Amino acid sequence: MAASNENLKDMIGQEYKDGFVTEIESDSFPPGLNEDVIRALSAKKDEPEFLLEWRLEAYRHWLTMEHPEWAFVEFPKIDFQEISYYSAPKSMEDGPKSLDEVDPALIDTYNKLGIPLEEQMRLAGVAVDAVFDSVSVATTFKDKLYEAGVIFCSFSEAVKEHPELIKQYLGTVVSQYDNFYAALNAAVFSDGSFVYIPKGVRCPMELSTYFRINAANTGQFERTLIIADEGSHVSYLEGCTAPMRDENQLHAAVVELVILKDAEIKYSTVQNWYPGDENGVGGIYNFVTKRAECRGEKSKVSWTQVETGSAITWKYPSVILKGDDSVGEFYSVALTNNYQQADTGTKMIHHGKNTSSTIISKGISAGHGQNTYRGLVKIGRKAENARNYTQCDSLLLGDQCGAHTFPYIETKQPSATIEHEASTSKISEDQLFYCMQRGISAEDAVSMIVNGFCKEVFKELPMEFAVEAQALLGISLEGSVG
Amino acid sequence: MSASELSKTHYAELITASNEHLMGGELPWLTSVREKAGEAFAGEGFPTPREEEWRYTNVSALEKNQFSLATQAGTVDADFLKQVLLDDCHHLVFVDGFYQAELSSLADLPEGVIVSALSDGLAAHEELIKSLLDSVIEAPDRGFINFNTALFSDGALIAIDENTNVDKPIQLAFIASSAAALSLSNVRNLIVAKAGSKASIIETFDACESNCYLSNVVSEVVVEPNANLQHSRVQEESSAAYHIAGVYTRLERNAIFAQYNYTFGASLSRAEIHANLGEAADCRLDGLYVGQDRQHMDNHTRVNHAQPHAISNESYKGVLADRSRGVFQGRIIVAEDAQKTDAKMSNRNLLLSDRAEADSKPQLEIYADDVKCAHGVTVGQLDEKAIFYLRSRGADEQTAKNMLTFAFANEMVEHISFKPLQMRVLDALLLRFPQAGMKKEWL
Repeated sequence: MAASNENLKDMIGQEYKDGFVTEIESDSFPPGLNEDVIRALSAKKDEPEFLLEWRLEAYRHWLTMEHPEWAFVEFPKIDFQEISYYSAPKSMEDGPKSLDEVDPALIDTYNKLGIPLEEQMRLAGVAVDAVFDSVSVATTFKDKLYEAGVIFCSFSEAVKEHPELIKQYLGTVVSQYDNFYAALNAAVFSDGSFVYIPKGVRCPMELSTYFRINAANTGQFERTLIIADEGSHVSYLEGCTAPMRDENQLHAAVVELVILKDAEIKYSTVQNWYPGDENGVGGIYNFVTKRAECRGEKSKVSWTQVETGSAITWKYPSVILKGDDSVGEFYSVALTNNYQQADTGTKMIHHGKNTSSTIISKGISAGHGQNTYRGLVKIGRKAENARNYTQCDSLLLGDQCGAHTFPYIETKQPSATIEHEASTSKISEDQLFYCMQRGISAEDAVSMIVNGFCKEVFKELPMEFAVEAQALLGISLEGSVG
Repeated sequence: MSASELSKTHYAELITASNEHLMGGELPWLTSVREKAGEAFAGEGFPTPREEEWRYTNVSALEKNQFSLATQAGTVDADFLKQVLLDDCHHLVFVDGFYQAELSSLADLPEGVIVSALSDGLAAHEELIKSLLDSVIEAPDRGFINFNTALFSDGALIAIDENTNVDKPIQLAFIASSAAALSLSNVRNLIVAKAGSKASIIETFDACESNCYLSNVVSEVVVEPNANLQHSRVQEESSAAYHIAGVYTRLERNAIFAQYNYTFGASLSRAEIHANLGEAADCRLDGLYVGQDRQHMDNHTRVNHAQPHAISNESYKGVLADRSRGVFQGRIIVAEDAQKTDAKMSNRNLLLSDRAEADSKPQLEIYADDVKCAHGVTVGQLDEKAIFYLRSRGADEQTAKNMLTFAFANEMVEHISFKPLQMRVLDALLLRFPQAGMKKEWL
């Protein structure tokens, strides 16, 4: 808290911190999308036949779909033929056997980002499956995880090593026909992370992936699949950054979580893709489908997200509560500054008995930002005693921004209890006055109040992430205060 | 051809055929307004659930019937009329969409107050009607509005002169006679409360028999600076009917507007209550919907804070039994300049059966920073402890449940200041709990 306040001052006038382009040779497809591209992609990754078929089915279905228009975001039409669907750092071809073999330029990139990959990694006790553009670069701490029986690898590796698990679970939460961008992702996804936690295992460390879009004109279509078998537990962290570019880049990922009986997944995201400059030029389009399915009894999933980046954020991490007594949680902080737009929220779909869900969403709008919470709470006919509590608060900083709340509440079960509250306000003059009267500058006071506003969500994040999230919030808010 | 295509063609033909036979068919400006609306309808047709605003309400059932246009009023017997008309009111009675002068009573209206049927008022107040018609509606989806504009057969014209206080409420009674079966009635009300005036208007909707028909009502309301208007609606259409209604209001500077919306009838009903708020306007929108059997009740409200310093308060309650379905959508929009807005909205639902459904979509769309906006939604069932408490004091289970349900709903009824209206709504409410000993005398 104190650190973030001090930093805030230094960061005033600072540009996007992570905006550098790494000059390494990359092996890319020319822009364009057709069945041949998908075949070539699949061949390049040496995929089994079933996966290619699966991709082609998705692609054919995608061709019949219309681009969804309902979201509260505006952007020019995307030409999907202008995107290159594969980009791998060239020096990857030989395949690094260990961290030492990884291209030093890559390592340098991660160091600039300040993520603990090498020795820091060990100290931080975090295993990172770093996705650099599309191919997984290096996976650390594999052995230790292996001992525990945890599979944590890149998606392509999982396809080769554990095809039976991929076949069993891929697309069972987010089908290849699910929605426009999920279908596109299914057709062209290049890599991603795969996690399997066996029965009764508590993952010995927090798992973490760092995504980063590097090459220009490439879309990043990664796919993450996490399976928590009966009685297991895992905490998964995801962080994202992208270099500064004038044109917009598309990021359409899919995350599938499968939670079996008594298992728990905690999924935390800090998203800091390039948001575009102060005039709204450039930036990432972050259109992601994230869904978890609580299949077994007493299973639990918790999504925590801090969204400070991207020109447009359009995603709804969802939970399907199938098993009786299962629990879904969603904690979100979404910040839009300058010309950023966010249409984000969650869906809690209750099918099982005694299922409960909690939604805490904090939206902050500054500059010309448009911030929309859109959420669905659906209580099915059989979801006896289902329980939902929703709170979504919006904070407005500045008179040019917008904050919108569009919840959908559908109930078919009389024993369900649903509470939904939403409020929108600005920082109160009284609070500001109180802080300033005690010698705290206006900037610091605002930062402090905003951090307080988000505290309920930050406390759900793992330690290191919470610190990073607070710092990010400070950077993202700069210039909007006063 | 699909049912919706068929009905679109059917109604487009109906519109073309009836234009000049309808009220004011001889007036070029009016026929041209109707033609334009008719053309727009022929293009769009009725809305479908694919449209976001119609997500929870599917009018395809309505489209399966090809209603014919009512051409004249049926008869209504005196006893029924007596039940419908409220005491201590000025009455304007419409049967099957046509004004019935002999059933209406407009004695001792204050000077400067116009209360008449549109058809009667057209000669004397053509300019007023022209200036009001289609002047208030700012709805994005206009399917049923165009339909209404193209086909309205009559309606009320109410203009309250400046600084005039109308003591007695004005009741607009819309009755579907036994001849209404498979017919279509379109009514358009134009209401203006001029600066500093005060009035109360009550729209009631009743049916003599449980026929299937479509009643489509649009009311356009202007509340001028410092005026105070109360507008109530009691909808008790036939249980087989379709009722599509819209109340579109413009509140000018410092205007006060209160809308009370009670829904009991119709197999499928939809009410659009829109209010556009001027500077420092004060707007209250309250509603109660009580569903049973397979009724579908949809209430859509939209409060647009276009100017600063306005206040809006909104509270809707639903009681849903059997296989009924209640839909609530409330949208609060705060424009960029509308600083110091204070807007509240709440929707509470009570589900009484495991086949009932409540869908709620409260929305905030905010572009100004110095505002206070909040909304809340709850869905739940009766409190077990409260039921136990009543049962421990000798009430049987059904009575206990009815008492609690009644108490939940009564919150929306008890503040009605006009007694005859309150009794009328209470009667409708108590009718829903006939099997246990709820008595009006207890209240």
